[in-house]
Amino acid sequence: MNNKEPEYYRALKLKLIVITLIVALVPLAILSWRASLNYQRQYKENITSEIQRIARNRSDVINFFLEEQRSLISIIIKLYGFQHLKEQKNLDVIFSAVQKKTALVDIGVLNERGKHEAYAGPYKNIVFDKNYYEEKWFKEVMFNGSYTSDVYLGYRNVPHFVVAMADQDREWAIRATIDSEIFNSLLKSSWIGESGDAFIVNSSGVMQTRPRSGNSGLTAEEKALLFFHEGTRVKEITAGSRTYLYATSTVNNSQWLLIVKFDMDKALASFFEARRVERWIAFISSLVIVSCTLLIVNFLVNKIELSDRIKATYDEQMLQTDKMAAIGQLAAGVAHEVNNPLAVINEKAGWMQDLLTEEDPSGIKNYPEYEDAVKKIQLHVERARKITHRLLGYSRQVREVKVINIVDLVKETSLFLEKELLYHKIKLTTEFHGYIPAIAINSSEIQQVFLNIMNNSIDAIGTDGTIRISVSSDSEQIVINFSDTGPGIPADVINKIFDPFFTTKKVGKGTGLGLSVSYNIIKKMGGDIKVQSKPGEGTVFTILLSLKQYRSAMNLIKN
Amino acid sequence: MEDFRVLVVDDEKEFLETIVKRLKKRNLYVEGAENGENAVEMIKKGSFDVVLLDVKMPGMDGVDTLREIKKLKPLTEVVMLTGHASVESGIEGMKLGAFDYLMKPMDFDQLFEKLKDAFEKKHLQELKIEEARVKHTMMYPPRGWD
Repeated sequence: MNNKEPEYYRALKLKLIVITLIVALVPLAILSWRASLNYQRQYKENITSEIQRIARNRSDVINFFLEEQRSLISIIIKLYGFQHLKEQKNLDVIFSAVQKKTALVDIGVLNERGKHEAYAGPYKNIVFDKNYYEEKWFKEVMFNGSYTSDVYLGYRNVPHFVVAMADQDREWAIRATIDSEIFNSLLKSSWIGESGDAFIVNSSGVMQTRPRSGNSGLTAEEKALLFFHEGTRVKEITAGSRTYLYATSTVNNSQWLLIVKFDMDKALASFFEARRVERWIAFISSLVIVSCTLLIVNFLVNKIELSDRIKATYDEQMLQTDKMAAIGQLAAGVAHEVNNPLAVINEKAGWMQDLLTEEDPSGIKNYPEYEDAVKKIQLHVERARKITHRLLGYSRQVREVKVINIVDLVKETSLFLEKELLYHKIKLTTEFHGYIPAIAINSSEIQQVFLNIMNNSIDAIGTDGTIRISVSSDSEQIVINFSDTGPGIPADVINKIFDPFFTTKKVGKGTGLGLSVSYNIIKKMGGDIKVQSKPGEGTVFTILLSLKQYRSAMNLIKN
Repeated sequence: MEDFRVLVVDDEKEFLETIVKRLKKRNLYVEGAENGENAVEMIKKGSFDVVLLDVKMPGMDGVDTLREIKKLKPLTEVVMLTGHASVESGIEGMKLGAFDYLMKPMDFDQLFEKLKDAFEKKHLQELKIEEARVKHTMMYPPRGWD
């Protein structure tokens, strides 16, 4: 017997769903998390090496440029010497020769006292009379042999810087102004992405080129970068909510620092976009997995429930069959043992009755008493007979076609359910319209159909209600109507009620076979069974038994 | 009402005796047999109109006896008596040509009516046969009449 409740199947469903989802989704989640992490790291590494490469490359170019300017001046010094260069016209010739090919703005020849001996360039009247002897840079040149200034905006508001070099004996020097605009164009090409930046600062963080940001100096966080080192370095700095990646490289003999700045967040935007797509894919595939799991689990558990139901039905049927067989044997045994002695008692009493008629009532003192006693014996034999016959009727499982009247069968079936009806406070009315012919039919089967329909009606009604059975007949068929005042059958299940194993009752409570079996029985008999129902108005089952079908059977029985 | 000849067959001796006595009292010619074999013997020797036959008997049972009787004397009508769960046997008996069947314990008047009906049927059938024979004879008269 199977008495599994709906909760059992719900729990089973839940368990299966949870296990399947854990097995399917956890690896997916781990995988996508790991992939995302790896991808992010890979992306960062790529950016790092890229920005490092740019910094190295640009610093090489800038160093090369500076070196070129210096060597130009040094060549001029060594090639021409002071005596030649201090002549203004000689310097003009040299200046006009190199100016077009270089970033030279002007060039001046200074004597050991810091005074111009000659000057070639656009600012002669402004700078020619200046005395640089007390200037720090002049002293450095005369001491070290060379000097490179930071970049500053000159009279033309153009960024430039000064390179000065002294001769070997520190007796005179050349001072040249060099346009540093080339740095800006060189670094502009290193602005990576929409917010990348590249600029040069001096050792105290003052801008030597125009940064993209337009800032004149470094931010507080960026000051940490002012650390002079060999080669290129990469550093990540978080300012506020933004993270930047910096690559630094020293230029101009460690006097300046080239900084390539890269907005991590902006750069990672494309990565985040890719991750967003990936997460959508993961989400959608999770959704697919979840819905597939739900569908499959639902399907499986419903199958299990159905097979449990079928098994329960078989078990129940087996039990019922065994029970019925046992009861049948017992009943037959009792009937056998009781009916024969009853027959003897009956006949003996009858014989006494026969004999009494021969007696003279006045000759026997207690004649009326004898007569009464005999009658009473017969009456009670009759009573006992009814019991044993009902017992036989109950136990017999006759698969024989018999000539019976449906009216008798309806009455007999009603008697069967008398107690049940009383218990449920259900009123049963029977109506028999006109002449109902007897038919040859398998009475136990048709009785089973009646019982099934009436049991369903009782279950549907619950308590307080009416079941009306009406039997009528025309020349073609017998019509048996069972109508009840139950809640009716919803429209969506009315087509399923004759399906095997369809039941609205709990597993183990209803087999879902009653109406299905009934349908098969009636169809086998060549009849028809129909149902009409409106929710709230009750249900009417109609059984049609064709008379034509039974005439041949009846003839067979009679002959 | 015409009297007729009845053979009662039942292995329950008390029952048999009483039924025989009661039927005799109703002016029938009645004999009793305690088993199928005896009954068949008596059918062979005597002539009975109706046989009241118990279905369940040791040895030759009611159905076999019925078959034998119908073989020997097809016109003899048989009313079957069943005492227990042998309703099916009763029905089978009807298929084999029994007139009707009753379940023990039965109402004696009902039994008596059944026996009379059975005799009536037998009588009618005999008349029909007689009639047919007469018709036949009239349609095809014996040569001697020529």
